[in-house]
Amino acid sequence: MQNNFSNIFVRLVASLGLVLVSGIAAIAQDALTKGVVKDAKTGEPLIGARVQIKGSDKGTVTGIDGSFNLPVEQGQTLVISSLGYTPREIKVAGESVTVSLQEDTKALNEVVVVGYGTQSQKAVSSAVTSVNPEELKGIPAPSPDQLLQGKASGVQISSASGTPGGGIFVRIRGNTSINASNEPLYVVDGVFINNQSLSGLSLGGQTTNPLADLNPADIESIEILKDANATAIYGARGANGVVLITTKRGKTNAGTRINFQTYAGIAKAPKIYETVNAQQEAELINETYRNDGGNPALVPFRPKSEGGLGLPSEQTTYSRIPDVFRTALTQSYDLSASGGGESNRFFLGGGYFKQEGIVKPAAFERFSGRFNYDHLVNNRLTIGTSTTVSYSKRNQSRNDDSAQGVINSALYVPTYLPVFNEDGSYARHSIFDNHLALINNLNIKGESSRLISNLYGEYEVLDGLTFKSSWSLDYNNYSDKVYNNTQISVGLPAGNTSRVDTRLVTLLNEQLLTYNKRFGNDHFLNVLLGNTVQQTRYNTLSLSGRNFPSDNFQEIASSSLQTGSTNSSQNGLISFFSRAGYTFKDRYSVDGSMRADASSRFGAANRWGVFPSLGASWIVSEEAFAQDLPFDLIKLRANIGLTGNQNGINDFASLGLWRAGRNYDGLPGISHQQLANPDLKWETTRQWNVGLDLGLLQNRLKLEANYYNKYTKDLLLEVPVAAKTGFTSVFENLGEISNKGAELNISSTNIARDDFSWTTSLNVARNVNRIEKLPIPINQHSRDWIRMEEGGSVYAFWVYKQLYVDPQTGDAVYDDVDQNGSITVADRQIVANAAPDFFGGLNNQVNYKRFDLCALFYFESGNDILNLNRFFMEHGGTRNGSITYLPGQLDRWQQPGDVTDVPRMTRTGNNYSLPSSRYIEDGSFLRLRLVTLGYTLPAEVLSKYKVSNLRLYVSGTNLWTLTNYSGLDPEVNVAGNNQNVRGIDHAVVPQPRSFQAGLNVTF
Amino acid sequence: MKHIPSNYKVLALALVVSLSSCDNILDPEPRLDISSEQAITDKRGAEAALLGAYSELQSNSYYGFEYPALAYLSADEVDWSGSYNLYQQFDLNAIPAENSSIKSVWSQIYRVVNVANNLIDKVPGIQDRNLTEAQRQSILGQAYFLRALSYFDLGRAWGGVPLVLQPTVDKNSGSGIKRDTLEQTYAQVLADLEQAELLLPSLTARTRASKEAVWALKARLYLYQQNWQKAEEYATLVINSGKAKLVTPYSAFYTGKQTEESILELVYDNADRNSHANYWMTSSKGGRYEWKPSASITQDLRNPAIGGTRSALIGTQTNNGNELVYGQKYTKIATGEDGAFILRIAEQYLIRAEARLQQHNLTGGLADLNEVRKRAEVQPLVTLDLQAALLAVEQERKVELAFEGHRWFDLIRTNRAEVVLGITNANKFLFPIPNSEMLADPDLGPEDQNPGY
Repeated sequence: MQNNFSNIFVRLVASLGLVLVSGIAAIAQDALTKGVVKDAKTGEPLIGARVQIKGSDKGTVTGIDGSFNLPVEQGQTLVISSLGYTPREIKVAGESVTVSLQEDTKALNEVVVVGYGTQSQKAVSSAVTSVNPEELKGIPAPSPDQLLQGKASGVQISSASGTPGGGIFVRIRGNTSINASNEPLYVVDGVFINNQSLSGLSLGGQTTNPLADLNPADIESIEILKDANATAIYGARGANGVVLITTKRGKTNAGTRINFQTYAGIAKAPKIYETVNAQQEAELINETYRNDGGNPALVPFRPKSEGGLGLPSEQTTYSRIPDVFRTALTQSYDLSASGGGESNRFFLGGGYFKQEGIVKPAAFERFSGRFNYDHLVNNRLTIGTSTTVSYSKRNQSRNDDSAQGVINSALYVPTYLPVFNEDGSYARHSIFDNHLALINNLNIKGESSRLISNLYGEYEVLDGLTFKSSWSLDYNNYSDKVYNNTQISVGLPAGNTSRVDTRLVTLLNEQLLTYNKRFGNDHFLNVLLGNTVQQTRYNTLSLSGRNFPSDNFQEIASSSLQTGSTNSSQNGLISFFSRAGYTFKDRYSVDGSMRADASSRFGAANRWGVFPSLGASWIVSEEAFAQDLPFDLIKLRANIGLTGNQNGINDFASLGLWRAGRNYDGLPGISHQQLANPDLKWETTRQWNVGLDLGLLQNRLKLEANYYNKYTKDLLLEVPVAAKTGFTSVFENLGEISNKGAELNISSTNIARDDFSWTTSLNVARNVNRIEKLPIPINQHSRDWIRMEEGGSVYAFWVYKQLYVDPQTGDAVYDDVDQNGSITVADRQIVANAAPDFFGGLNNQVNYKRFDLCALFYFESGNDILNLNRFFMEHGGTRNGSITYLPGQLDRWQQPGDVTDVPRMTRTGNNYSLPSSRYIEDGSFLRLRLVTLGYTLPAEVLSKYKVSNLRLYVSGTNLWTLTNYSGLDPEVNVAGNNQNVRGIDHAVVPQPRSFQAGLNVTF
Repeated sequence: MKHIPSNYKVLALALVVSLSSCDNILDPEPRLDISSEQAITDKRGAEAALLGAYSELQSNSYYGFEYPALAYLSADEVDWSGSYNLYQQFDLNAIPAENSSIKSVWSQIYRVVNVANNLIDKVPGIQDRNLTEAQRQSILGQAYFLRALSYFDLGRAWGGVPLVLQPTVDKNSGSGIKRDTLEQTYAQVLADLEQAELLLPSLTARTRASKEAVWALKARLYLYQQNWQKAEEYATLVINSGKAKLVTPYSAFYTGKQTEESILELVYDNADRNSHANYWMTSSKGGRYEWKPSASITQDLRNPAIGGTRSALIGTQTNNGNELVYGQKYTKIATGEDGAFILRIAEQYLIRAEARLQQHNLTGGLADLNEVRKRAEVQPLVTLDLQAALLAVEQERKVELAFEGHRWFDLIRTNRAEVVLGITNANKFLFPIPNSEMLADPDLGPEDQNPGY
């Protein structure tokens, strides 16, 4: 089987090679008439426009710069046509012609970037969302994915925390997997890029975002492919949607434009934590003591003369929380040059970005450069590159689920305990660090070096037939450096340091053969055929040192105990794919695609997966019978397809393995590591999508609606096995998950005058996730707060449901589900869910004369949050002396008759020990995500200074949030490193409120 | 166009050459692992797997920290003073079946069992000239010993458990094996110890199982089974072997490494760290101070008439005018080199003391008890009352074996837990079978859970 495929592969690549060679041989030709086809409105070159000599079948298609060469005799007439444009005829006079085509305003005319090419909007049957990041310039985000929040329907995006460069949660149409990845595939200029955090540090569950290596300023457009017909061409990696990022390129014959953009801003936490004061805390501790039967005369806070800690009223409150928050600065500079001559075009850009976190000492800094270049060797052959390099530095800190966290150190420590010892040294209490010691001594650095490059050659073999071969590289090197001195607890007793260098390199070779041809006026055919060979290698080198002579030494070489380790892994993927589309009369389109992938991750028996899709669309409004309807556009779309998923599982998941490094007494040992499953194969997602596009009032009101239904089977599941076997789990294809949902996008041009325009767009999405089959429930997070079980959904909170607090006894009464009179694990139940019922965005854009104003709202509704801060800090006395209280504890039951949901203070019983529903809150929110006000200076003023464009703007983010959530911020997630955990708040850095001022100038 | 064919040939050749690496793309070899089939096929593989078994034994989920910790937390040796309420649940003797420590310890012990099962299954068949018969026997003997120790530790904590005796090859391995009774479990322990006793040589390294270690564990097993005569017999074998001696001062055995005190002590180093100290040490010493010595044991250890030099186990420091008490058996937080004291000679004296007293040999019993007291510089006990002497052994075990995870099991096997610990619900004397195991093992029905959970 495999040999067979290898043979096919050899033959295919060889024949593609033949095509390439014969193409190069065809370079030498007669002198030609040169021409350029442009968009009449924008002046941009039109790619793929058809140029034909009237009355003959001789013709060609314009290249990437809109140019064509054709042997034409003087006086002959050329017919120039392009999808979405009104065709034009022109008589040839002279050696070169420039033709401008008018947009065909009656129809949808945009070209949409799709997998491995572009498609006319007219012919698209898939759900694809395009976002222009220029619109979102006011958001001071280090990574492009953050800009998409609220802009792309059906795409849920939220930051795990307000830490710059930190992990981002991105879901396109829900979760399809439990143990394999749910992250979309990111493709930058044709390069599949890594978006898995390479940092090897454990920082309380926080992660880093590898997409922060990309400079948002370099990006021209972002397309999000959502349904199966759009993503099936990405086969085994398409199930979670695909994000295509296209970066900026120059323009031929355009001269050189210099662009400079900058902004600077400040950010603050809109709200910081509050705790009880020392007097209240002391009273609560005394109350616990009395309630638990302690002698009232011996409460801990009694006069010092009686051996106590002093009366509650004598306690001093030590404030810590404001110390760790700060007003953080952001600055961003981008300088670029772009342009091109007759046979080349380029974009050269460099950027610098620095952002401080609002909680000390976090910071993110990035240097980036981009070089995009295309060169026309001759009229048929184009070569070029898209290359970006970047170097990012992170200053990191622990937070979230870490007792050594910065917020934790300021938030948890009992307020009556002093910050400094009597001798002036940092006082440390319980398991928490001194917060000042932490922010002054934390030394956790992350450095990411990234090179993403693509080199290509594209050759037009015949009219409409193009062959493209490209070689790509994603080189990602991440270096963690940690030094803990003895001022912080993890550095005790004599300091320690560690360094982890991780390298992930993906090499990709791709061949593409595309054929676009219009036959007569009514038939348009496009066919694409390609193959890729991909290899990914992963290596880590970790070193650590312990025991330093003093805090003055930091290098591993200075330590007395040194250890080192390495790790490596690799995987490969060989794929063949094809897509074909046919459009009749510009109104009926069918298209389909097919991809076959072979992955090294699976056993030989199930190595190949085949992923087909089929779609159709009908532009009803083009029909005669629809001409009287009040619609400018009516388009119906439907498609169905299969996609796969193999990401997120380890490279050798199908093998039975024994691992070395299980050493004893300095001697090398091995023990069992993993159970074999030779039948392991892809997860497969079947998705269908139906859509409706409407245009009304001269297309001033547009509506796009989609309904989708995804069903994923053969989940790559880490299935628990009886531990008596010595193993606890095995990877199996078990379990099924469905996601059904709808997306609605409405955009309206409310006012469209030359000096005044106002557009509004609204998107709303709903996704319903259901775990259809799961052999046994799977619990997540500490204390099993989250449970996935058959019939339930992902992100469901599994707790003991507190019904009420008994007004007579003050004890919590839990739902005794099995009514056996005692509260056991059988009484735990799912009561809430962190996934929203609805989410979306509302954007308003107003342009008045030279002013522009943008206001973007983002909302999530129906998402629940588990407030773990309350679990730990409304502890009812169980953590007295080591953790203080949130003010909510003051509502506790005190005497018979009190009606409250906070039980009486006690260290015993299950009032405060159980994972209770009491800590779950509604996390719905509506947020003013962005407001930008810009002013563009008049051209007549600027021209004196040879400036072609200058825009000044101010913006604010997160200025206003409407929510009932009691924590700092409803956009929160403690465990970014676990994709099955959402909506848990635990000492997380909140989303900052920020103000920016910026300018964008072009010379 | 004539040049095309030759170009084509060159290019096609280049492509074929580059494609010959295709198999490598789809069949990369793991670098950190070997296949299960390759694992134990020669002498070096067998030795590596044996070391792997010790590595699993020394894991932080077993003897590296958690197994002894669950036992001393459950007894009255320590008070929880930290933030992990999964440990508090042991201190309160209110352990839910979903407690994650219960799960990790249970799973880890069975990891040792599986490596031992693999050795027992494969080592007899290894064809390797380099493997001498003595080496083969030693490896097998250690594997039997490790399996015996594992099932003993499972049995005393959970009661009877499923007895898996064959290596796991796929996910169906072990199916059909249900919970056995405690008697059957201990019978298996004894059977494995009998095998190990035949195969193992005398003690040469205290870090490895030896004939003396087998005797010592047998003595303990017989003590738990109240087979006083056998307990005395095997403790005597250990004591008379001369391979282990009481060292002075008391603290020498845990401040040093593999002292003469130890019969079997797991060794830890910077790369293989014992994490015990992280939980015992105060935050200013870099620990979590997750628990501290209880008031009663602190009082006992500090009492010269009871604790003697064992007062060294109690450390103090002043924090904002308050005295913090902490335990000092595991302190090597910087290097992680604290040992795991699985079998040591003082316990053998106390086993024999108890066994002799139970056989009404007051003089012999007191002599053994006083050996231990003498080392701790405590006055010899003189009494004519057998019951008082037995209680004195119980008390001696509390202070002598403090924080090593004996007392919980001692109080249960002597039916003293209710009186001493005040636990009225006898169901609490066994840990719950982990909830995850109840779900994952089709051979465990609801009726197989320990009562009360």
